[in-house]
Amino acid sequence: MTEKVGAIGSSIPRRGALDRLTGASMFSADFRLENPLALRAVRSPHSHARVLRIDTEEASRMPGVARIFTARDIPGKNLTGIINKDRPLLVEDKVRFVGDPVALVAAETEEAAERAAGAVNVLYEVLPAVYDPADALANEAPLIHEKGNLLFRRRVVRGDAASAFSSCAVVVEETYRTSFLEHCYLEPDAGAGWVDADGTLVIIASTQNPHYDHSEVAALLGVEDGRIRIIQAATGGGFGSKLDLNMQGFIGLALYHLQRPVRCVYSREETFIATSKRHALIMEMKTGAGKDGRLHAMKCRILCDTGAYGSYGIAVASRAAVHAGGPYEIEHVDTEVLCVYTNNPVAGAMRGFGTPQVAFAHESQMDLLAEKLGMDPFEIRRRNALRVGSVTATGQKLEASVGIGECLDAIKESYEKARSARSDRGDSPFTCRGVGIGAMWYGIGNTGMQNPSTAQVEIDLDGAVTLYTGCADIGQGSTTVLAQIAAGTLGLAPDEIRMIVADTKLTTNAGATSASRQTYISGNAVRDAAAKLVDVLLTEAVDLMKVPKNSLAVEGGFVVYKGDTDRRIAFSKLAARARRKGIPLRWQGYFDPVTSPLNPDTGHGEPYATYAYACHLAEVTVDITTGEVTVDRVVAAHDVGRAIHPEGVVGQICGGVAMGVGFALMEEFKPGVTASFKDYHIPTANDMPEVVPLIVESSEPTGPFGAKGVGEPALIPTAPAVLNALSDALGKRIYHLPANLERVLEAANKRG
Amino acid sequence: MMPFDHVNAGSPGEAVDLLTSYGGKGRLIAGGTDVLGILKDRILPDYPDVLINLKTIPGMDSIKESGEGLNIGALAKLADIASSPEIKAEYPALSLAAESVASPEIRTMATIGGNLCQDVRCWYYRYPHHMGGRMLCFRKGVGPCYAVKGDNRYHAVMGGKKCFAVCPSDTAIALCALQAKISIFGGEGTRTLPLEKFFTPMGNVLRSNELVKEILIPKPTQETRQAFIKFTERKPVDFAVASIACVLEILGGRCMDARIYLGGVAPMPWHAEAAERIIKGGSLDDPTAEEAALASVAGAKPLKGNAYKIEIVKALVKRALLRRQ
Repeated sequence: MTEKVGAIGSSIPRRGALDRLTGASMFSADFRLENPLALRAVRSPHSHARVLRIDTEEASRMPGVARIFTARDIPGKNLTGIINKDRPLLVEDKVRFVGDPVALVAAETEEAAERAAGAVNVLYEVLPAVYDPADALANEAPLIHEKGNLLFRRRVVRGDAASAFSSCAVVVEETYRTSFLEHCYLEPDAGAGWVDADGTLVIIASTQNPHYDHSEVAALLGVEDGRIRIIQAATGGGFGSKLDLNMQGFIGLALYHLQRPVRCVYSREETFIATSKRHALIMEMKTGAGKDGRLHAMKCRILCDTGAYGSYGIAVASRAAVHAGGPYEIEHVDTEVLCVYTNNPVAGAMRGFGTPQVAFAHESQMDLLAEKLGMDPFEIRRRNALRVGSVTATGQKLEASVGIGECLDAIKESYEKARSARSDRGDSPFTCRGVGIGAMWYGIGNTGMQNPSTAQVEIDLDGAVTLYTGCADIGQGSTTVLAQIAAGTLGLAPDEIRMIVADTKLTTNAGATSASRQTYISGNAVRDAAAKLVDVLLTEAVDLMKVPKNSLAVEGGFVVYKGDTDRRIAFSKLAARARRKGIPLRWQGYFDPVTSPLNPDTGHGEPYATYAYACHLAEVTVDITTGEVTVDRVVAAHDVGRAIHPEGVVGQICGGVAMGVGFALMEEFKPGVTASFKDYHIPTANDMPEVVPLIVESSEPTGPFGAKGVGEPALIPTAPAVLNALSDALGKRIYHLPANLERVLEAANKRG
Repeated sequence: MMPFDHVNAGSPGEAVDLLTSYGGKGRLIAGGTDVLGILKDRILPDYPDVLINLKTIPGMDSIKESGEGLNIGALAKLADIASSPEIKAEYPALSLAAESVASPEIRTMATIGGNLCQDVRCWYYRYPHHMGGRMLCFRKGVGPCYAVKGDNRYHAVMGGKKCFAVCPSDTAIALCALQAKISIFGGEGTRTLPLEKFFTPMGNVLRSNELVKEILIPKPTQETRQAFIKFTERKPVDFAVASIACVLEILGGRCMDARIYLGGVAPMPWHAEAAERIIKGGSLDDPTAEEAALASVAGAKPLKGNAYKIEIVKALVKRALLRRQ
């Protein structure tokens, strides 16, 4: 297909940016409904307790209360979860974490709902709870779910690691820990709903996956598919937490019973207590290399605390296992990841699905190996970097678009300059400076399973083109990118494409906005749909122009003859002609990346069709008297295959670096302590380093115009780079994230 | 937030009368940046029926410089204090302290009186009621101090006894170092006391029918050198992990007098008298600063998770003393 110059690779104004700027965007909480009821969940104060009785009588009689729901009011199946269904919408028998909902109040005002929620009397029998994943695996541990506390086990085995260590010149073995994190999207979870004239329950939601919400709500209510409609409102960030069913089920339940408009808006505190967290991981890593720095063997044992319910725990465990070695060739690998239930808050999807955690570990290991070998940290990475033809730990041969080497080369000059400059001690005797590298790889899409996307492209008789996609744009810019891909295929300008987005009545399923998959997977589905439409137009043009199809192209709303561009026919004319012949003007595209499931015993298979690669260089200044760390500069090289919208890629990189700085230095959600932003600190504008984004384009043959993805990769290398820079500055390494003041100061005091 | 009535006071006398007539069910509100958070989270078992608004009292937000010193009405906004050219020139420690508070939005609402009277930030004390119930602790009159066994990284390393929450006020230490007095108006008239005497381990000496009316700061001498340094986890917004305000009288290269106060480390502004003794009478060089830094934390009793604050305080003392003007 010919490519419209200007559509692909140009940073056109983002769709919806002006609306955001002027305040015209409608977020879920902005919808003004007629007399809406306010919904408020009654949540458990206990982390593990049997629910003996829920007394709603007194609360029901309070002024303004419409109704109070409990599990008994759920007409369908009271179990939700995208991978394994283990989480009730409203708890019936026992609560498993502080925040587990037991009842739902619908009232005329927010205040009445809050008062009634406080008056619902729940009688609990408190059960012993377990908060440590290792303790949860012990025989005598309290059982959180009937099937046992081990949710999932993923092994990835290649070669014979045990015996390979003996032939290694150097071996390093360390344990790394990370903390629970909160997503901290700007817009707390919110939704609204009403019942349409035809009885359809319409739910407006802040969501990353409207089609999943749709099927889940239909199952909860036991109604046929057509009675539900989910519309994604403008969404102020998600980072993975809005992949779970948060308020959508509550709204559906209230609509079903009350047939009145409702709204459900979480406070920031409720998002902290009720929604998912990043998994806290404990990672034991043993890595061995030869004298030449080549990695020979890795053994890795990971405990993954998924909290009270599964959510995306299985996906996190699987991805952590596959990515544990980093973007390097290792012949002998022995990895096991256990995903364990505890009575901590639910841990689910969060930007990177376990990869940011393992990257902290594998990149620390690389620096430790380099140190033992007396080798430069850059050199050891360059020597081991995956390349075309490399075989991964899961036995997958990488065929194309392996850009880690190019990413490393892209930062090389900055790295060398920074290394030589860091010895100037600045102007204070209390500070020292350090330089560090972090590298990563990230498989695009779900791990070893089908995750297709669909899209529809339609031309009307005026020649105007509409793209229908179920893909939720949560701020990352997919609507713009998909318009560019459609435009690029159809030879139009992106602003000529009308977009209908993320409405389950109007659009087909594009899957979740997660796993950095929408540009690659939904982009390909859009390209497929657009290409089918182009083919129809070309076929009609062949009839009229009497020239072979391969001599024709689409450009500016016309089919043109390449030999003489003055010979051309307008799309509208061709569309009308096709219509008269009964040829459809709306075409569906489909794409499912080629993957194969992982073998349960060895982890072998092809988990992803393609991988993104990146490395960051971080320069830090540490005040050794206070533990204060300033990240001065991050040079971030990312292989994205092809940047469809370069400014969007840069935006992702800068946002990722901000999140990475928080992950490295400050963020920690402590169950039972952390309540809101007052005790959960994320970086502010003043804490941001200078970011130098470098876009590397190692074209992916199966990607739309060569594109892969960047959403999660943007974040992953930052924390490892910062931690390696810290270690370079202090001569002491920190093994527990975040590297907060206490830990940095402790490390500073331990240095010689 | 649960409902309450909101009554405007026209004068300090009227505010005190209202406080008296509502008994324990009335609370004062000025900028509201602290009290509204407390009410929203319902951290205290008592919830007021009425908020008595002080912002409507005319003239109580004035900032007046005279030959004797500075008079600041309790309703003066932190933003106005931070931007006042007179305060910047003569009372830089106060100017810097006011500017270090929170964000521009909060500084344009928050008052100096409120900054001195604000409640502690302890995360156990502040735990929201609607998230599994407020935590009843020693400071609330029932139960232990949860920080002792819990996560105490932001708690007191000095002076903690039954409650380890720290006084969060940034302006308090600057004003103490400047030897400010506080004027309190109540049912029995006006009383004035040194600001240092205003604070107690569990809050302050205000009675239930009193309010803060004015802050009075004597004019510093020509030889005065002032410093205020606040150490935070993030650059803007945060409360102090530790902070220092010092006012030094330097004559002929010798430190004739010194007042050093530490913030964020104790239930009250912490007067580092031992450090003052070391620097008084001598010249300020590196070894003296080092010795003063050690003295400033002598007797500190860190909890399990906050020994790091001691290192930070030492660094701040050195930075403040060695800072050249």
